[in-house]
Amino acid sequence: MTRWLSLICALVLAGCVRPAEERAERDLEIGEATIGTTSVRVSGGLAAIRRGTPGEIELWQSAPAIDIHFQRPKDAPSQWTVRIKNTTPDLLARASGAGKSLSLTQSAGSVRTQATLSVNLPVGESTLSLAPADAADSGSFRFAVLSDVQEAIDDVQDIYRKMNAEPGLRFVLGAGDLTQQGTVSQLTRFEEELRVLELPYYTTLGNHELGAGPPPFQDLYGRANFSFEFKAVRFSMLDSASATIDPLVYGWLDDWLADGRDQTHIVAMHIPPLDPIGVRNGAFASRAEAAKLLSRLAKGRVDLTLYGHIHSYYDFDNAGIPAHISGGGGAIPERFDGIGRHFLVVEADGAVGVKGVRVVRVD
Amino acid sequence: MRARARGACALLVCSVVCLPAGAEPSAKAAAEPDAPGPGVQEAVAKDASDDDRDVAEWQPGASQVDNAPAAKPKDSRADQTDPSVRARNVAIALGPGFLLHGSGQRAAGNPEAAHRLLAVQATGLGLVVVGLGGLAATGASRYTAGPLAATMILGAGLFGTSYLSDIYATARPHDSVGRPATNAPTSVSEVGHRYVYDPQFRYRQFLVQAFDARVGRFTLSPQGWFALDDENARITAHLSYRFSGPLPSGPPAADGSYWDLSLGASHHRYDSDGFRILGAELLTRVRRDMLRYGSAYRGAFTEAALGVGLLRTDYNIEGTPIDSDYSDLLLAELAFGAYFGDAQGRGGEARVYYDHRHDGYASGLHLTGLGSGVAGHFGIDVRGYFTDTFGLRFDAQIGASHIVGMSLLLRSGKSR
Repeated sequence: MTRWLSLICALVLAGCVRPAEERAERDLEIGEATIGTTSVRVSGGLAAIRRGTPGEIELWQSAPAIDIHFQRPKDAPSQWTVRIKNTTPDLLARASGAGKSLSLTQSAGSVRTQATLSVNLPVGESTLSLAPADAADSGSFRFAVLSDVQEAIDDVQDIYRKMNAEPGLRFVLGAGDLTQQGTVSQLTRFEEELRVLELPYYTTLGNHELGAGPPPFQDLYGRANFSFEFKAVRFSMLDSASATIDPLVYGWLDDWLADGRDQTHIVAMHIPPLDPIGVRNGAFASRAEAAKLLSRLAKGRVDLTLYGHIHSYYDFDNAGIPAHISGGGGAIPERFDGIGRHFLVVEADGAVGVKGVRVVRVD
Repeated sequence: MRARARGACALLVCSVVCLPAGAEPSAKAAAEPDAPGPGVQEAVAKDASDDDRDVAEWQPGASQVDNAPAAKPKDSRADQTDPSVRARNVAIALGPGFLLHGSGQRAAGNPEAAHRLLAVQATGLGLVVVGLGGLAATGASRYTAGPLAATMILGAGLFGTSYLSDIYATARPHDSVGRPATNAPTSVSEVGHRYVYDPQFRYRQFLVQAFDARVGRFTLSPQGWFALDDENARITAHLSYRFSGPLPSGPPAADGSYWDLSLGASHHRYDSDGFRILGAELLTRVRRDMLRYGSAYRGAFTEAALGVGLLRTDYNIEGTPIDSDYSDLLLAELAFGAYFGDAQGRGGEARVYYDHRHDGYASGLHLTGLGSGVAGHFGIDVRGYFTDTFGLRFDAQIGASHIVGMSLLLRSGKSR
């Protein structure tokens, strides 16, 4: 009997009721840094501060529009260079501080999704706002969805070239599993491949980013759970990589749902709450938690749910919300489904809702 | 060699849900579902040689074991009575035995049992490779994922069974093993408390009530879990038919082995969270007493269950009618356990199990790495009677939540 109890104890240690807790807590630290004596904060944690020295900072943008707040004391340098990665090619940067607009210089990087800004910051608080010119306008726009690249990274350029050829795309939304294990080298390789893509790639993480613990994803690509608005459409990205949403995140989600209740609201995550093929259960570990999440999304009048994890394409409804599973990045494809590598093109409108979802086959 | 293979096969099929057909290859055995098949009989006869008198005394009613030839006693476990030797052998079973099942029995001087356990381990690993490899090769195709997942679970179950069997056979005291109930009680009532820690939901304290009523081969089993601190309750009812095994009346069964087919329904309300889940399921469950595969395993049993379920989730959001969600569910359960005392009198049984279901309170296991979501939950269930009528049950489960609790048991029916 004592051996059985030992076995059970081992299983208790292996299992955990809040496997995403550390990542949720880490999210709270993303987008905040003190560089020398200057504090820097990105609103909503919508960018990862990758590195910084007094007078210079490098960011990875997680959303089309971000505000960077600086608090500069007297003894800190006033001239700052802000290197931005994963930004929109039509970036419009503005700076304000000490109650007035600040002049800045903006130069494009060697890659279309990179930019460098130089700004002279006054003592005290100042804000640098980065956004496409039409970020606050309503109207229809299109974006792509791509997930589950994993071991197919060598061939991902095919997909990026096809995306570049799609007219009118504003960005790519990722639902995780960029890599096979989520190591720094694999995440760096993913970024290198992204240089071909002429669009920014805003993504949460998948279970395949959890192979190297603690996962370095957030240091490089930003928050695992975040929400942003673009052209009056709200996007909420959730970390379901452990087949659950951490209770801390449900609190944030309630706020995002309240914010997006009267907007078009699109929610994306990696592991879907429900797998259309239930006996497979490529889904949440608990059907009850799946129903809890879907009940909240329905109550929050979410217009569209997007998932990855399953390497095929499924179009279904969950809690009455249109749902699309798209794991077409090239990772071991689901056989006999006739789908293959693909991505989605979604057309959304802040006033009208989701106008359409189209599958674009790559092979 | 052929006998070894037959013995290994007998142990292998003990976890297969179609066991009654698979384990009873002869027409005679098919006609007598409780009787061990030829291979089983041979294994019992062979291993009965170490303790014929004890086995014969244990077997109630007509039993194949009674016909075991009175072979020359050869107590290969003699030195097992030495506690230090036994401790060493158990350590071998636990440590190196994890990689090479049967190591404990080999150290204890039972090479044939060790070979059988190794064969079962190899078969289990083979099935895991087939299941896992098949899932990888097909990309978890919608058309094959269910059978391949079931194959993988079965393989893992065989692996676990051979490992635990080795530990059990090596560790069990030589002179005190439990005996199964060979007649089922007419009724069992249960009332108890469960503490459920699930960070996703408010509930923690539950009143649990259950009742099993048996009439002939049929059992009706309603059960309810009622939250004392939340608007949450899960009510289930199963109607089971016993093809073979202990019944409430009639002659006692040969042992505790049984084969049931069960039709179930569930209603789980999460009123404070705005949804309800209704379920229907069909499940077949097999228990095999391990004595059938060798006297070293006397007092132990293994279980397997397989089935499918269908869930309907209804959402209750004020002012917004929402279509229900439907999802299917693979049901698979594997258990290893042991009787203690006299399960029909003062005694009971303890079992550890894996349950693949993802509904209910325990649901599926959360893991911190790559593989969260697919696995079900683990548990330990101990039921013991301190009189012919009253008993206690200890229940602990770990999955998406942690569950622990005790119940008072009250039974009626035949007693020893």
